Amino acid sequence: MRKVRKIIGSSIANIIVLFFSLTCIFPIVWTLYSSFKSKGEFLGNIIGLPKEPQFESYKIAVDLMDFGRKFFNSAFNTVISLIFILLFAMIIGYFLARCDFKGRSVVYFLILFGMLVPIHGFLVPIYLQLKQLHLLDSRFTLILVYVAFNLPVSVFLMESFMHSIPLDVEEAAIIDGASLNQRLFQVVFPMCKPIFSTIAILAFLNVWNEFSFGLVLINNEALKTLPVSLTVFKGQYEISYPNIMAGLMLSSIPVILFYLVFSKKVTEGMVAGAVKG
Amino acid sequence: MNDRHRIKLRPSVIWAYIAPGLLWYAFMVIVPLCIMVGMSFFDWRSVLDNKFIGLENFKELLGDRIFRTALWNNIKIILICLVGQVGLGFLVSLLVNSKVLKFAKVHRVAIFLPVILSTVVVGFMWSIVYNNDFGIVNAFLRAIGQGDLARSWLDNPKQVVFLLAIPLIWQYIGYNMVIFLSGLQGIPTEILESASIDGANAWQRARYVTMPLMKNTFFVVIMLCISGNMKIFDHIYIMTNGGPGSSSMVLALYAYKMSFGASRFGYANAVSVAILVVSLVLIAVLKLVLKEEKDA
Repeated sequence: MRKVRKIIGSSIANIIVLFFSLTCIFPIVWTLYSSFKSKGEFLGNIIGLPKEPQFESYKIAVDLMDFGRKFFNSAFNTVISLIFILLFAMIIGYFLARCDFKGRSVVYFLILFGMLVPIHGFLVPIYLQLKQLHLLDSRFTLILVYVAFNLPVSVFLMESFMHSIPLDVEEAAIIDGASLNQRLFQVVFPMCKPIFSTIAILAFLNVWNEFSFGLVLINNEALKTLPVSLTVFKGQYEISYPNIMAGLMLSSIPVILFYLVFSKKVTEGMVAGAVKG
Repeated sequence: MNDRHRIKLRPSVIWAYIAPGLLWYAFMVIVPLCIMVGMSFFDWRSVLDNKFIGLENFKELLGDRIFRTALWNNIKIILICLVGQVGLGFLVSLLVNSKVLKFAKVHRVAIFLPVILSTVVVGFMWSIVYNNDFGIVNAFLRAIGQGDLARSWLDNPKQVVFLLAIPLIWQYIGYNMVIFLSGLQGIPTEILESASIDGANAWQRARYVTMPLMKNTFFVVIMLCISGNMKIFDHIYIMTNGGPGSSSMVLALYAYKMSFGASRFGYANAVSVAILVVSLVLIAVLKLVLKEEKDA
């Protein structure tokens, strides 16, 4: 009797979770396969799989969004931001963890502050500030913002990781007469690879997907990012749904692939980012 | 001196190393904060057209009906997401963590997938899901013979906030799930086993053993829920743009509209200050509540 109840209980649990997982991926899968329907087929059959898959919608979406250029802009912002985020985070994190200096607690507090306040509420003041300084609409405008916004989490991840690295290694390097730069870049930072990948994953997702600052700070069509380029579809629903869906998939496929390959690392990274923060 | 701060260096060397990153950060976080607070005391239309008006903007905020709707909508969304993201997320993590579940890894990957999508993509996706003629909700209703229930979902001011919260729950429940899962892994199995031997059922174990041990995890998740939903903008900008009327207005969108629609930059900054203050107050309250529970 107990065994029967156990089996029933575990089947129910499995069914609930299965249903739940399907709910989580269905809208994405639906968007994916609907993007291969023609406009006519989609109108006639909303839920079903495409009978005559076609790529017309992708051609139209690529044109409408100016996909190549927008992809390049997003990739450029992401790569350059990542370089600065990693560099600043490892240096600031290292000194916060390893050295006692006057003003250390001020630096610590300033960065902690960036984690507590909803920085995204700064949209209006940042727009006004950059406008006044004539820094809007440039290739580096968004990078300025993205680097600063991703620093707090990254610094704290680095800082707490440093505590797990024994001092002896550095002390040995000091005795060997290594300079500070040599110690940092040849001894310490190579040991931090695990935390660099965590920081990089978090920052990649944040920067690649960022929307509101990309929308407000960049007016020049040639510099807009991929998420912002999707707004060409806003209010144009009567045109063709499969076109929009193709656009959605085009801008998501890079992150989805990235996630499917590194899923474990991505979830770990996001948990670390939340818990350490 | 603390054991871990042991590398001795001249302060000038340290500052030289951290200065570039720190200045960059201050330029994009601390300076805007000062601008925001400063300008909230001005009636600011442009650099040439502005005057100091003291607390007038904040007085106006208190009587502004759209502002109050927006604030209330933010709070409503936080409450709905506390149930959906935190509550449901916790239950899902318990199920995914249980030994009876098959393919737990596959489920984890699937449930987490929406987290990595861009908010814009999610906004568009769900506006299509809710669409009157081509939405999947209505298509399902018609397929099961309940076509009468089909409607243009986001056009009803009474339901719109609730319907907008569903995509938010959908997108972020996986995030909460993995945070809970990592918290659950920190609980020694012996404790749960001995509770089980003492006759505690699954619900009692979750409520009286697991939950108290995961207080910190709950704190993290609730804080994310509050700060995430106080700044909510992208989904709503795409899905309803605050409409119908201003029934789904939220604070960040209101600040956006006040500045880029109405050019009332001073007032928009006052709204931003309100976002900041409300979030900090909510987080402080949360800290107090959890602390009290610890002491009790």
